[in-house]
Amino acid sequence: MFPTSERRKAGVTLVEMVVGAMILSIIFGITARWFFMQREYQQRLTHISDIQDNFRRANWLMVQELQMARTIIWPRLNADRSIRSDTKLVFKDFNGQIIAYYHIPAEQRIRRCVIPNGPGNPVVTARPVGEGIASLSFTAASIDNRLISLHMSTGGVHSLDAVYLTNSE
Amino acid sequence: MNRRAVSFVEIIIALGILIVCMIPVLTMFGTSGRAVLKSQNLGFSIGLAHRVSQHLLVMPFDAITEVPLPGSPIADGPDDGYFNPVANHGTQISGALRITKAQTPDLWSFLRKYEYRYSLIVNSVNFAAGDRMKCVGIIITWKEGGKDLLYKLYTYVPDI
Repeated sequence: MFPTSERRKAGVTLVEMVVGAMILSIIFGITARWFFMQREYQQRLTHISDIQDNFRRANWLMVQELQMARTIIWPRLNADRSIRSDTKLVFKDFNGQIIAYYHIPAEQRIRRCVIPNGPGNPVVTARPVGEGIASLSFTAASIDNRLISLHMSTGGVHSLDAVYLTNSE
Repeated sequence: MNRRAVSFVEIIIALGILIVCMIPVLTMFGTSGRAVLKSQNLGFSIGLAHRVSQHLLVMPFDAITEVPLPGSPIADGPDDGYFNPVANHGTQISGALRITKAQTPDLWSFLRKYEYRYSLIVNSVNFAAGDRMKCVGIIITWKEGGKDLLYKLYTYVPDI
């Protein structure tokens, strides 16, 4: 038998170890929960960032081609001159080719195709204009068919833009 | 004998140091989150300003008027030709949709969350005799984490 004072100096008592382990487990639990929450939050942020990238890419590709186009064929203003929206956009490009952009909700993609002036099938461009886009609407907003508004959205993230056709027929 | 043992106070101090070291690591997550949010809102604002600049090109010259700060709200805003009405999938004016809670709830809540507004600063400019041109400053404002933020874009609109 050691005297009490020497026994205390020799090591850690069971009570101290249990208390230490409890505090450590509480801190570990809080930290693990924090990391788990942050992981989910980071995944959500990455998702938002990906959506933004998709919007930027699709917007850039469409705006580049549209601002050089000659005229919008569809959609056009309604008979009462109110705006008209659709998920398809048909226009005549700088070279006189008829081009269509159309949204496929099931695939969350925007596709581009060239519609032949004569007989023949539309030729779909292999690479989609946009991916990961849940909804898209093109809105005709001017009487001269030279202004198209774009609204894209995915998972609560939105993009509102417009393009004015600088060329004229 | 003392060297072989770890006292309760030492454990507590070690844990305290561990927590202090972890704080900067944990705050990194919040910083990156704010950066993504900022990028999202800035990207959206650039799109809004570009949209207004394109709409200005088809508006009657005399209809381009100043919208003073603090600006006009985009959600629940007036029929201004820039944002409202925003879409119409019907064939008559009655089908036109506005950015309201009832008609476009998802877009409305996004715009309301950050209190997006737009302002226009209009100045007449002349580069030569007989020219009629307006210099329009488009200001998009929004709130983010209690801060007021803005994006500014200048465009020139000729009277053609």
